[in-house]
Amino acid sequence: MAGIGEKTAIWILTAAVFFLVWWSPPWSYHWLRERLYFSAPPTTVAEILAENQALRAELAELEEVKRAWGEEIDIKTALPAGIYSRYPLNFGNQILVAAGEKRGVFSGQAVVAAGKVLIGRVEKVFSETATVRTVFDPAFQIAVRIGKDGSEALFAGGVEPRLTFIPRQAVVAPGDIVYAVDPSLPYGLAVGEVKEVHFLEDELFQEATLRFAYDLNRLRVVFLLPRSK
Amino acid sequence: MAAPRTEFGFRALLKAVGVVILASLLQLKLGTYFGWAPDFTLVSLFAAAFHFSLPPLALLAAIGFWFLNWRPGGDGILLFYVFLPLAFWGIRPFLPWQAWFGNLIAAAAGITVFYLLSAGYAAVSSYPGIWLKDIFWGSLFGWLAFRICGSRYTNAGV
Repeated sequence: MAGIGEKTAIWILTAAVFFLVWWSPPWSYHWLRERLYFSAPPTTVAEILAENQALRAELAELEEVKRAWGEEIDIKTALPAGIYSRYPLNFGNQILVAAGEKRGVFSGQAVVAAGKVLIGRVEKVFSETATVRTVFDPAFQIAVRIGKDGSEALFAGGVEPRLTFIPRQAVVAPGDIVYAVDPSLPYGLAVGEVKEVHFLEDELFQEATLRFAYDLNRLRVVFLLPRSK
Repeated sequence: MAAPRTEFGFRALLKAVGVVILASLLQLKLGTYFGWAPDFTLVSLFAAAFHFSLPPLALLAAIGFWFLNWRPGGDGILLFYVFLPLAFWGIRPFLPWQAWFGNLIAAAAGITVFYLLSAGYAAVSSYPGIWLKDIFWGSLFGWLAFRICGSRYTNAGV
């Protein structure tokens, strides 16, 4: 099978595959990801509510997060979106959701699951989809407060997200809720719970690891919150 | 310098396409299961570089890119999955080792170079466990891919 014709055909085929990647028509894109990679995201309101309920039950393990939930997500204002695909490499954690410019999605929009637990932030918006940088991405950083005292800290995402720059005198204990106070996000979205706290070597700051009751890899639907008023 | 020896037949190419698709699916599934994604697609393309000439290797790389691509327009980082195996194809004839050993070295070095290019030194220094696990499982899969793509190949082609 070594002829100039065959080689040319292979180059054309290669170019066609690259064109398909660049073009990303829905028939080639969504079909593959929904059927081969992951189970199809829920599409009806009933399915979305059921998924939401199941996740809330898992999150109920985190008592403090549960108390801080406040009201349930208003499905009339929050935009539900199924998860199409996930970043396939290490050292990045992003998802592609089935809502884009046509449905009013904007860059920086807060993305939550279940009882307003912060999952991430919209990064890039396409016509019918958008990428979301999750809290498990190393590039995800936001200002947060911890527990009832409201000690300030910096949430640093990653494979194992952690809280850094917790002031030395702050009283932080395992089980304290961590919530977002970043100006780019709605105030008070729960992020997780403190798991372990320790002093850094210089003893100027404390650092903490976090506990998340949900498994991001099992999420099939998220909610995009409207712009804060 | 003699031209690199290649096995370029339709059946061999189909086998290699199957290996790349399998590698991509495993990479995606195991990534969600373990929390870290083994770079099986990359190492299977390195293995293919021992058996194919440039056009079929480019096609295999494009197929791997398409399967792994997770967002419209293509992810720039994933282009390393295309360029690294193609670059390796260029230096492969100069490797001094037996092909099977060269393939293991290529898998380990390729994964490391990919980490450094995509996320910098912090990727290796901050998460050495993931890096080492990736090299171990990647080399193992690379060896399998090498055998499946063409067991007749016995040397580095020089």
